Amino acid sequence: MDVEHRQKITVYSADTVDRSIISHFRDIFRELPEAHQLGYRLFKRNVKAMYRQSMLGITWAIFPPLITAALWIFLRGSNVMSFGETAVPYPVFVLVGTMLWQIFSESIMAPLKSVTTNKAMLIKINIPREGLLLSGIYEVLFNMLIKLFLLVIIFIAFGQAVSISVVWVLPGIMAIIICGFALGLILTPLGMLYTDIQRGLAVILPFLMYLTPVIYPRPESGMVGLIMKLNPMATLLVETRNWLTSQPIQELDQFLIYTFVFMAVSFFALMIFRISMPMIIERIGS
Amino acid sequence: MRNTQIEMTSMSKNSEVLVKVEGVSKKFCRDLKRSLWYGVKDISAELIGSKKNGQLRPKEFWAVDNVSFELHRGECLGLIGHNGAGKSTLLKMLNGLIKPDKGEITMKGRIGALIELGAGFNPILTGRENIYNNGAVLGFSKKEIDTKFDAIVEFAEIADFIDMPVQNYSSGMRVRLGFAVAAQMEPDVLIIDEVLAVGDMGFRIKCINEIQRMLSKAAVIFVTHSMPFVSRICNKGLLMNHGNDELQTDNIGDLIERYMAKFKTGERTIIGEKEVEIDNVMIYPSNSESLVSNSIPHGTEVNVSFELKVRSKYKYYIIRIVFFNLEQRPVLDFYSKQTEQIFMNKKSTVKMIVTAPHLYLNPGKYSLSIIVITDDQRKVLGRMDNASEFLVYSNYVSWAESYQPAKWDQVDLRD
Repeated sequence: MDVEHRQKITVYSADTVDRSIISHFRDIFRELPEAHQLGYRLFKRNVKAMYRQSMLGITWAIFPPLITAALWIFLRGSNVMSFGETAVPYPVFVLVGTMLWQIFSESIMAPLKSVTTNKAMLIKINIPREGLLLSGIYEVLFNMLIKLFLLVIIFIAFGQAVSISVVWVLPGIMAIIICGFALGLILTPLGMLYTDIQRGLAVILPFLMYLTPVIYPRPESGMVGLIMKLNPMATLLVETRNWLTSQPIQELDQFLIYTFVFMAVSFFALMIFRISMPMIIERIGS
Repeated sequence: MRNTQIEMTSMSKNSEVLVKVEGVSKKFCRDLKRSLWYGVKDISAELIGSKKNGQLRPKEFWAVDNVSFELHRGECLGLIGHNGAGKSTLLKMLNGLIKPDKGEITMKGRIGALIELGAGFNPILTGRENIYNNGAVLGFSKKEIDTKFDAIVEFAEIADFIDMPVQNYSSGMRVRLGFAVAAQMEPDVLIIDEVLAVGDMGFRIKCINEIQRMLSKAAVIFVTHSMPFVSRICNKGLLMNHGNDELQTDNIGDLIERYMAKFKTGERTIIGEKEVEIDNVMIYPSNSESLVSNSIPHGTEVNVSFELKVRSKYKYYIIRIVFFNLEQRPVLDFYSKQTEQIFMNKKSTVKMIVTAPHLYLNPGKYSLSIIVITDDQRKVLGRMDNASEFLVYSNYVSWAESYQPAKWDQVDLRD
């Protein structure tokens, strides 16, 4: 171990343009254990600190979707809004929808959030920077587990049966996380330079929720139907909800295409992140 | 001290080069909005793979300009210069935080940095938990921390408070804990940025000893404004000025002298009731031909001369000359009463010549104050601060305020 370290040679050069994409990825994978070590520790630190100074503790992970769902159950129940029948009881439908949407919105915010909250460390210490991204992902996964636990309770309460299709739920949620992470990560370099990105996301995300069939069933025709066709989150969310509530799958091929596209985008974004970080630290570091 | 330094240098010449910096430059932008926009452009250029032309764009300047040096194991480079000279920028490049715009840095082995102590601490969590947090940031695994945990707690001297939230620690305790974790690194290349000026006296001594222990096994780059530390720890020096390497030398005395010479000691001020006039203050080596030179070799006979007129009614007065170093600490005192010298007030201008047989001040820059006092020491008649400034030079720099030759005898105790 020691001998290996002594052999290690570090080069910082002005000319990195010639480096291939593959060599960047090789570096990322070589540093992965270190990045995980840091990311996992930061994740544990954040979770512990968050819950030690809080009375409601982990319930905060489920409050936002619960409140949104409650609001829509109330609005629909009092006939202020109506958007057709849902295949499963509306409370189950809307709760699943808001939970999944919450997972997506946490995923999209995660990269930028964990990088900006650790900015002080980032500009002073040479850490494996992908570790910050990992800590964000671990937090999303942790919150996801809490949400799934809550969903189990709700399913039992409403007597909602699950079929064998439930095994697809995990890949579905992973696809949602990958989609959010890819979009969030690609915005991260710009978001570190300009605060507009983080503010903009906070404004746009709730708006996007209403362009996605979270609280209403997917319309198949008209202007809205077209938007739903173009909105990848519509596909990912609807299919995952269908698997969870034992409904027939509508567009598996589209689901798979989007999943692979966002996987590719994630890798691309990761490379941009890696290349741009020193240049960003140079601009924002004191 | 001197001998060990020389030994270390000659020994390390044979050993491997651990740090190699070749023609490194870095540009910075003065304007934030423009700087951010340049950042966007640079990232895009890097992604599409276009070559940088290395030219300055509007509002840019070279923060580090064509700096090169080499360090062997066992060598410690003191990186000094005034604020904004480019030291921190160079350090950030060495630490891999930012990339050079020109040139290349090559380092061998594990790289450690003592720059930010206690990074990753969360104030709500306990000292115990934060040792692991800080350790992870510095690249230690949980297992490594497990084995080093007791040593860390002992070094930090906080065993009683280890399960208390860090937010209830005093700032000194927090720093101690941070340093104790960082001290567990065993780097081949160590980068230190002015972290020693914290903690209480006892802990500072511990830190210096710890750094000296790391020093022997590593190549060290040490940024500081404290010249005693430079003379104590470093065996090589790099003086930066506006991004350039103004001086690179193995002679720490030269280095510190050049650095000190850059500073003004302050405005000449006179305090008193206009009862005293002091003029033409000079300090010079006794054997010097020209009286304008304010450079004095260490250990030589020195004269201070000035013209003095005391207007007040007092019949007698005494004089005190106090020497200050650049940190405005008084380091030497000539007091006429000590040698039973009391002067009669002649009510006209007299020339005062003060001779000291040896000036043993450490090399560096000094200023002097002249104070005229009544012979009963009840009243200060007049005082002139920064009356003159001068440099003391020598090949050897001590980390004490002064040093002097002594006679050494080694006596056999045979019987």
